[in-house]
Amino acid sequence: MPESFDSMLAELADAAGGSVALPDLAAVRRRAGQRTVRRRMTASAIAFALLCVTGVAGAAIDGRLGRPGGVNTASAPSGSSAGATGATGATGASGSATPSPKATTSSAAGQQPGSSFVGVWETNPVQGGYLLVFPDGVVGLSEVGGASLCYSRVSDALTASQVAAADAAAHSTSTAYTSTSVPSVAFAGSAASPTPSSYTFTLPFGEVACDNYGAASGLMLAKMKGESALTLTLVSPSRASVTGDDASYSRVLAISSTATPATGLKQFIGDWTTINSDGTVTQSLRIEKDGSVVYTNSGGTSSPVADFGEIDSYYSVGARVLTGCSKAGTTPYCGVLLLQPGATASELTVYSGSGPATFTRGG
Amino acid sequence: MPDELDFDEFYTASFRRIVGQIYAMTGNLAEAEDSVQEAYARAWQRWKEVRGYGDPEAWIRTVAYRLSVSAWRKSVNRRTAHRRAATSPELPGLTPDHLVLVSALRRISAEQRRAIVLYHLVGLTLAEIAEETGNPVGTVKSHLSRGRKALAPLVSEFAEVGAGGPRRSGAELAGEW
Repeated sequence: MPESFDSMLAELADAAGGSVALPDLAAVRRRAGQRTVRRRMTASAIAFALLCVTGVAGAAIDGRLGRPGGVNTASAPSGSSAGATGATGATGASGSATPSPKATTSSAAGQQPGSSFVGVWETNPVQGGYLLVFPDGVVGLSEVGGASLCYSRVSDALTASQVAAADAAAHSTSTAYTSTSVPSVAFAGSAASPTPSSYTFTLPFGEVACDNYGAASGLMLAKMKGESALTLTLVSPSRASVTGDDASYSRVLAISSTATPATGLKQFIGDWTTINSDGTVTQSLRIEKDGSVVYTNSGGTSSPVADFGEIDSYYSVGARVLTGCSKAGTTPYCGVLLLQPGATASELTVYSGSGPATFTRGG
Repeated sequence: MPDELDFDEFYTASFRRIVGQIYAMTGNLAEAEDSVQEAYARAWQRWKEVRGYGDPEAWIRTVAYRLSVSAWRKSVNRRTAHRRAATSPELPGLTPDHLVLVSALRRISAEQRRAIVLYHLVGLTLAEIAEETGNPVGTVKSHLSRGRKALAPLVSEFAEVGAGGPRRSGAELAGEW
């Protein structure tokens, strides 16, 4: 090459930059405005769902009390691929985006009537993607090359009680939401909607941004045509070169809030590793007595990654770990892990960005 | 009003430059353009905050890159083979050397490419790259080193570098590598 690499690279970038037309500033502001509108539309949809839930609940109470005008209650919870969860789980302690820094028990701030979307969800086995939705609205989403699951929340403004209400609304589909029309879902990119003909029911309930600055996707409960089970669908936005796409998840594990188990943190303390057939360690986990966690993964990525976090709450399936961000951003956390006690005290199943993996005690 | 003028000036001065940088990182001009525009839209929504950062351009670049990578990851996840094959059209007017460079950049990992672009094109120091990418300096060094070694067979200038020779001015390299 006759020229230096730096100048060649600069010429290439200049050529790319010079070949694009500078978009009108008004278009940029309009795009920003559309983002705001979409968020408000999402909030409106949630508010509408709450109203419907309130109405249905009121009618149900009236019916039970034998008041005139009372109507039948909403239909029974729809089955998911793994079955509906218990109806008595309490939500997380707070609707705030900042969980307690120390391990705490999720309080009974609200009830999960049917836990339609709370749980561990998986795409088809070939794709192997996972989506974890916790009772307090925290979401963990697997991504290629990620260590922990990407941290997000179903909505910045969604409180635990709103999550519960939206969940209840999903079970009221036969009365309130049976429709072939598809409500709009919040998108960060160009507006697009899921294919109406694919669904008999949708309930958008939030926007999932997978990291501090990452692209957001609309998250909704849906029923595919011809199927009875609810699916959790992540609708990615259409962009200039990439058309929008839907990823549907089926629930493989239910999650409900619970009191701190008697064994508490103790069962998790120690060093845990995954051992490959050749004896090498791909993933490791160190859990200290104060609940702090160090997770490393040297497999499946271009370079080893390490996440630092702490156990922040306990659920029916185990403990949740929230990991910090490598730099300050718009969210307090960047990663999520789910620690599920194994069949024996020396085994631990860890849901990370790579999916579930069995760890054994010992370094 | 000062906010608007401030933003207008910043946008006009930096848009094309950042598109070029993101293109070099991702190899997809349409995606780069869209991501950068989206990043500016987000910046406009919180301009007072972004303006307060030491380098708003770095914020835009970081957001745009992550948007770009995020969309790319989704496409990798969900539509593998045919989506990979659907590369963006080449830029008009590129010399054969430029095409070789584009081809070479496409063969290294995204993290390596990002580090190389930030170092060689944007001109950031290792510490600044570490700050922008959220990686430790050692990891940045590793990405740069591995990227340059991977490029060595494809870009003649790196043949020496891949073998351990200097790349930039001696003083700068001595302090950083």
